[in-house]
Amino acid sequence: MAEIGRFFSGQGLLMQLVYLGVALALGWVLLRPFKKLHPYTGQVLVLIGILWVGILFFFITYAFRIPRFANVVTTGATIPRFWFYVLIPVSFLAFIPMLKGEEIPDEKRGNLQRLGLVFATLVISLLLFRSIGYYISSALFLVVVMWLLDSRSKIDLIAVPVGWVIFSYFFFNRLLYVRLPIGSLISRILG
Amino acid sequence: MMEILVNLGAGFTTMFTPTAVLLVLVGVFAGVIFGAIPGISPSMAVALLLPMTFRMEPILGMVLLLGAYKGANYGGSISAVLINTPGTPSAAVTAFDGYPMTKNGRVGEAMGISLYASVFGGIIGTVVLILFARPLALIALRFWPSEYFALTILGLTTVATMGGKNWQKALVAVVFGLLLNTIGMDPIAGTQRFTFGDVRLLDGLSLIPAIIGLFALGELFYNIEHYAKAEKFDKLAYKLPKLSYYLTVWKNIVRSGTLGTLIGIFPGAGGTIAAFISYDVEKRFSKKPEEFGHGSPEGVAAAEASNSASAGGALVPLLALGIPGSATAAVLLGSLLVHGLNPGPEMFIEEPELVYGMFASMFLANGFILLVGILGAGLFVRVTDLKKTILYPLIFTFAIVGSYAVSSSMYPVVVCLVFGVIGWIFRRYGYPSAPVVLGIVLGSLAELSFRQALIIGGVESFYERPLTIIMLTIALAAVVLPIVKKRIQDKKAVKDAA
Repeated sequence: MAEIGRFFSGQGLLMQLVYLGVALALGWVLLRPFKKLHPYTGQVLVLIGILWVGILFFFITYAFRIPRFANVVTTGATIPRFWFYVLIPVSFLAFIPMLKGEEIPDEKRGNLQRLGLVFATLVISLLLFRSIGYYISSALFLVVVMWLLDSRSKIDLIAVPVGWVIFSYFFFNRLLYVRLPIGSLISRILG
Repeated sequence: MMEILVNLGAGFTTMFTPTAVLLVLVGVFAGVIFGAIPGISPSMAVALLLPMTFRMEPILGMVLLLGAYKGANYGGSISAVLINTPGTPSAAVTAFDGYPMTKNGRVGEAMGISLYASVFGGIIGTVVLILFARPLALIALRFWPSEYFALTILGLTTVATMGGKNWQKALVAVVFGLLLNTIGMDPIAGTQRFTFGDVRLLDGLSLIPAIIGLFALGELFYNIEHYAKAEKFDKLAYKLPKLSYYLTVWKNIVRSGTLGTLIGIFPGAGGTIAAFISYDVEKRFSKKPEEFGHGSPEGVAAAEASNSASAGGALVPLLALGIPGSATAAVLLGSLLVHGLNPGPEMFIEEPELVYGMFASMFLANGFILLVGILGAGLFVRVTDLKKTILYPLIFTFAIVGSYAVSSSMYPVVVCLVFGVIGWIFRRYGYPSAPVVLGIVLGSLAELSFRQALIIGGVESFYERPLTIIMLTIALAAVVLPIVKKRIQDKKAVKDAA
């Protein structure tokens, strides 16, 4: 167990996402033969995802570097393991209504393409904080997302980002002393 | 009693100078605005105003800070009700019913209830603080870790009512939150847990960005997925209800206010736990428990009254014993020390005008919250009148900047984004998000108190201390009784049908 724990704890956060993806894909494949569970695919996969986190944490607890104290009955591993032991029956409880077909089926998909675009815009704008800074990045984000939400009013597309930039500068930077990133490019330009 | 009244009279006399009154108003106004901004906690709001008080007289500095503290506690509910983005962690519970009320077109009602519950809850907290500060503080100090553990278990039992029909999924969600809470340094021995080599995770997950992500971003992602062009909120009722309307929830306010004050007294417990427990208690008392989570005025009243009252409770150990029970109380303690004052039993004797002046300012602050709330409500609710093409992107930017403000770094922003995705997935597949917050909030205190209890008193501490047994029994009953009751009802229904 300690070996497995050491293997997983030695991997970075991105790799953990990959392993989670693999666990979900495996779960999806295992679900395929059970037609009764098809209407609950999403809900079961959420359960599998949470269980995966529990299993991962459980194994990693065996790889903890735990200082030994005399007369101390608990360690840093006690509570995560305890919650994992609770998670197993609780997940089973949540699975029963799906197994019996008593659960409400998964919702129909909405416009995932639009959502994906908004999410990508958000991530890109966050990545741009370092180079072009918060103000320009958030203004561009607002324009793109408003456009994606079908706003075509030129006044809105200009006034909202400009208004937000002015507001956020005075409110957060000047009043609350929250130093929002200016960005390396802008810093260089401004000297 | 007479002595208290005389001192309170002297406190009001000290307070009623134009400068002091104006400072309370400024504090309340600033607190409400800061509190409404996601990411700016009441402690941050007070800390931001702290430098202004250095050159003031101690009483003037304190009334400004107390005004900000109370104002920020209320302010957190504004964004929770209007855009499902709790300004403060404790306002997360207000969002459970406040935001559904807004979506149902009852925004004025929701704003009104959160305002009046906050004000009257605050008054209850202040009255308890004035009357029982010393004895209550001494009782709270006698609590052992086993009692704190029992308190957290009592808090965790709220999940039994939180999930409603989805109670099994709510259980999964709360355990998920508890598991996530174990990320970071172990609170006793400092063992690194689940950091995967990322030092930023050593402090654990940041609570405020996690809440903003789960509630605001999760809801936004879901709304954008199901977005239709020119979509608007239902016709909204902006006006605050008449005064008589609030009488329908007066019992909820009194119960939750009292409970919130009592929980607030325990150092480390705080307004969030108070709000969760009060919400649960009110749901159990309610004649319409099925409305909770879907826009129940009683739910909003419970959350806000207890949250606001807990602010008064948190000041009990601070003023009576000099022990700060919350982050905000620690900032207030700092302010008192800067002015050369040592909070504790002696302060009540040596500086009665200051202590009772502060109490008087808290009454005044509640009055000003009412004023700012009534005058501002008309303006605040107009946020929901914005076109969704403008509102949604703005909520995104507010959520991001609010998360960034927590530690002026990108780490909380990433936490917010990750929890946004989790919130969206949970929303999509019928898993409630609130229990995750409950798990994250209570996880640390549960682990710390459980392990401390074992170290200090061994396993015996859980069954040899009467108060621990009583609290654990109540917790057990809170879970078992509804199940037994439902079984009996079901059996009766089957018999009747036969």
